[in-house]
Amino acid sequence: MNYSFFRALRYAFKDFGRNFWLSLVTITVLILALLSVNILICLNALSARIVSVVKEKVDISIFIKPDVEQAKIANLEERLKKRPEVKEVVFVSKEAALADFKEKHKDDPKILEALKEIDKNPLADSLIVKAKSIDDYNNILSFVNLEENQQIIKYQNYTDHEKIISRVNEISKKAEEVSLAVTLVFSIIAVLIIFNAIRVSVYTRREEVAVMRLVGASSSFIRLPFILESIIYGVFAVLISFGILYLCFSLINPYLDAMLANYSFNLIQYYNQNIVLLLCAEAGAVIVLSVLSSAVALGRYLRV
Amino acid sequence: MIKFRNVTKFYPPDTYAVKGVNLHIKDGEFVSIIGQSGSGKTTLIRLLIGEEKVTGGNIIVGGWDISNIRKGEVPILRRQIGVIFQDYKLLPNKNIFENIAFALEVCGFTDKKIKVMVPQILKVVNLLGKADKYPRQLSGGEQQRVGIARALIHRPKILVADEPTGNLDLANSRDIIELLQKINQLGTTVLLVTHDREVVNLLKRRVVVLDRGEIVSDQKVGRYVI
Repeated sequence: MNYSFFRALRYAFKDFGRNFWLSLVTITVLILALLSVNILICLNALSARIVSVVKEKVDISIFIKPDVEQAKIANLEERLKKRPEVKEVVFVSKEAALADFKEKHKDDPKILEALKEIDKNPLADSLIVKAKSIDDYNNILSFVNLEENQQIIKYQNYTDHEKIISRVNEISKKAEEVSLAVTLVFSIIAVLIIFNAIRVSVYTRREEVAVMRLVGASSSFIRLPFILESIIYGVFAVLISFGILYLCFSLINPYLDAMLANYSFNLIQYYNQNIVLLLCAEAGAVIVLSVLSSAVALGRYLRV
Repeated sequence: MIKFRNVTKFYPPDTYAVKGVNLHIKDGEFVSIIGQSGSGKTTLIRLLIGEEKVTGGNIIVGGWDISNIRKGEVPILRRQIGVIFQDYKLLPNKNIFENIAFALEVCGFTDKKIKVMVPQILKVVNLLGKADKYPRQLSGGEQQRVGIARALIHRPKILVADEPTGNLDLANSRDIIELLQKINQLGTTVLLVTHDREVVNLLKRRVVVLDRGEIVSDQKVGRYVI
């Protein structure tokens, strides 16, 4: 950092103010591009969360025939646990299942009445099996279906969430595509508008540039304020867009919380956790875009 | 100090702005270059400050052959040659101090040095009391003196004045020429491009006459003869 850099920065800010309205329009378009990028990021995060929660809910419930000895059930449980694709196996006794059932339907007198009518526990002992990965369930099902295991199994229930997962993926993919297209359009507009802003800056500063050349300013020093000006656009755009995002998040978060109660997903939390990465990546991309665009404009309009 | 060796500048398709110019200007000389419009005076200056490149021949400034000067070297050359113009080329939104300081700022001088150097040069051109005035608040002669101050701020060995009195009345022109003579006496080589008869005759110094890009006369103590 030397004198020349700070001077160039001063000239850049001066120029920013001199063409204030153009600077404002340039920053606005950059903000729109960034907002659409952030919508894309939110959609990605949200769909990833939904898919992971849905995946979490997938399991195989194995219901045991009545009067099977506990040792045989324990043996099946042990063998399931030893399989590499199995994450966990939980034994639910028929008593526990009944208690849970009663608790769930405590406000439904008809069901409770029906239970009393039966007068014995209609539920079975069960093993709830969770796989390490969604792809492992087929293997586990094959194991469960083995003859030796089927002897003690009444039936098994595999809640197939694959359709839900693929539907979530499909919707989020569509939303991503739209968002990506919008981002692309805004980015192109942003590049063009930065190009134009720098062209106008070159024009408004033509007298200064002529004097700079005359008195022996280096080409890089003459170019630097223009490049810095485009970086200022980028930095302002990133900061303002994050301000807008946080404002929007705080407004929509209560509604989103209610909608996504089962998914424990909070946008503000997500952004807070990833703020450094998101800020650096977005600022980096915008700055690279701005610098490239202004460099092309300078190459074309600034003869130094 | 400055040598033009068989210098030619050709603009396609068929225009020779300068043709076979041989000129040797010694250290500390005061040379007037005169000629009618289109005689090649300004082209010669543009070649000297690296604004244009020669088509043929060599230009040597202080032992440095600048005939094929690279883009990156032009700023180094410009700091060795001060230039003033007929239209002064001052920045209207900067005051006099800032106009001169600007020439130092863009070359990386510190604020501390600038604060010392600018008043010194304003004293030389007798404008110390007008440092905070804007160009529009000054007379043409005063504006040209600011231009001279700015050209001299890097303490160049050569000062090129391209029609410096073109926009001035006789009294102001005399002031400027006296100032250029004073600068020359302090050791700076001065190259004056003009077609002001009064100025050339007043100087009684070396006069080079250009016509259609060629030197047609070079007199040690010349007069305006066109």
